Amino acid sequence: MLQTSLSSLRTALAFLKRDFLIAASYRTAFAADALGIVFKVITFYYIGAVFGEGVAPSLKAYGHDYFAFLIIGIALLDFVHTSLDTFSVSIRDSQMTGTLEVVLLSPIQLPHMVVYSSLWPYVFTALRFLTYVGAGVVLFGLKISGFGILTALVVLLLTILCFAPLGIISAAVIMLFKKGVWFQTIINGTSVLLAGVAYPVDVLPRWASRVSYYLPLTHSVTAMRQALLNGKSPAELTTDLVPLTLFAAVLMPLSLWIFKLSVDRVKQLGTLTQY
Amino acid sequence: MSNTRQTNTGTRFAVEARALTKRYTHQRSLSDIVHGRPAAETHALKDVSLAIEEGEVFGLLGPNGSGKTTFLKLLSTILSPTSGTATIFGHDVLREPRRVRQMVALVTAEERSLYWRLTGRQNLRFFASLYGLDGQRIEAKIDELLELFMLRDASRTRVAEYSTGMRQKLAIARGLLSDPKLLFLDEPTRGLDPAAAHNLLELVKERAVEHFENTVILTTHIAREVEQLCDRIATLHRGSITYLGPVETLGRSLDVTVTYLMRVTGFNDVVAERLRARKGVVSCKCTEADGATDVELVFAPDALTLSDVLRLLLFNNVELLRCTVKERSLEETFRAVFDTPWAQPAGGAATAKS
Repeated sequence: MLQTSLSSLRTALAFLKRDFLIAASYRTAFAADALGIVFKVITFYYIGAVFGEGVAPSLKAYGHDYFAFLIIGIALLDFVHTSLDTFSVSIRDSQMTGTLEVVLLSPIQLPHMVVYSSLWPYVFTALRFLTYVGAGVVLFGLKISGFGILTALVVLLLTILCFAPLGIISAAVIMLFKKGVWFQTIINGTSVLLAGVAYPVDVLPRWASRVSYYLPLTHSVTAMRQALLNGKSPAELTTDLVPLTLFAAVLMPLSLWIFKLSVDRVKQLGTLTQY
Repeated sequence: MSNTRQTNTGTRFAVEARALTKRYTHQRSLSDIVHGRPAAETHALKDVSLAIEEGEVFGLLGPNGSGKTTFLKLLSTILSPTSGTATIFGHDVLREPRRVRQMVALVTAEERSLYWRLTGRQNLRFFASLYGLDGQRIEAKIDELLELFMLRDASRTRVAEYSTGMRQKLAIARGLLSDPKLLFLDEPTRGLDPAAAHNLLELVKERAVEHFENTVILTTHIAREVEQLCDRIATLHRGSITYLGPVETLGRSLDVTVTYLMRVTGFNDVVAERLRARKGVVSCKCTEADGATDVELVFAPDALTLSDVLRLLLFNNVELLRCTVKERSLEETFRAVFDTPWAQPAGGAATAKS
């Protein structure tokens, strides 16, 4: 058992190293990405400055600071995008580069390959998250509560566990139908529109505000803001953490089941390596 | 080269395929749906049965689209068969795919099956990790393979900067990383010039087959490659096996005609016409030289024998000075059989088993 776990860990690290080395071989892309984030942070700051104190009453919980509200929402949204894209992108990339068959011929299973291939994108997204928050702190004095960092990590983990299954389902759809952007667009669009990423959900019409309660991202952004801006502990955030846990518990096994069905089907159709 | 060691599952076969069939169903077009036509189907493989012994170097020869790659993909668990079964060293490809994958490795002609942004060594390290290999042992193995395939000096160079031949060598080295019991070489020389292809196969023979003593299945559409490397071959034509046996007898089995070169005296147009009129004679060409006639006679061996021809010549007072069989290379035979749309290979049993 221990040996199997160690072997899996070693394989996971090999994927991480492979993707890091490939990413690092495009050196300017790193710098351009970081610079892009800094530009966005500056823009968000001045958008926040336009509103000043005249923001929605629900921002009182965050000290009427729209800049802080927005930057945490956008930085967390990055993780959602990564979760939705990374699994299908890893399959699509290895189909297009021609490495999929050779990797699949090793004892590694397709679901493991897909999960291991997502490690670097998550690490990279974490770096982007830190760049967002770091640029906010350094350039505009964004106040982050040190007490909430541990809670933020819990929220982040639950967010990934909620959205990764949707990404895995998206990968299954793409593997089967070769196109699956519509699936990501629906999930992404609904979440951004209704989950309170860029504005509080109570500015939405009543019915939309009710719908937002059933979206995992609503709970993620609320809990993340409460953790990082107000230093709340997990015990104080159970109203958001419990729904997130339930979403993850239902979606994860469901997504793995759908993925397995999809793999079996494309093996029958012989379209595994087609794109 | 063959041996018949028993594997730990009690079988002496590296591969056993029984009535393996793969049928692809095409997507229906809008017109098909409107007219209620069923989806078209392609039989990539039809009832293929064969057994390959452990330690054997086996060739699968056939033109493009004959089902060679489909067969390898079924054996390597990448595809599922429509019907039939296959075992690798006694392990079923459908029921024990993971176990099967631990024993096989695939070398494809696909140059992009390597990570071009990584160096040769980094590529080998990554693929080694997929087999749970790590540490000092794998570094020693990588060194050995880089040395064997003469890539040591290029090991720290990105694969993007390799030539096609170097990439193929690296792909073969990668295939040998996990010490596979069964190595699939899927058209490994595609894209290489003839000299480079020959050298690569020599290298495979010397370094992969003889050094590691694996069972090897080579797919190719180039007959001389199976001559160079294989003990036994199967020819595939439209998804069916049309020949299964030693390489040496393939030419005889597939050859639809036999050509005799004769030097005769007393030959004339009447005799030539009589020969041409015989059932089974494909052509009879005559040229006069130094007071004798050179006759090139092509006929179907199942319709006419050499003694029939000699009897006819004797009956017409023709004196035979010399008679030789024109040998066809395997390549020429293969081309003659598979490049002719109407030609059906001889001995055309759809299924063959050793």
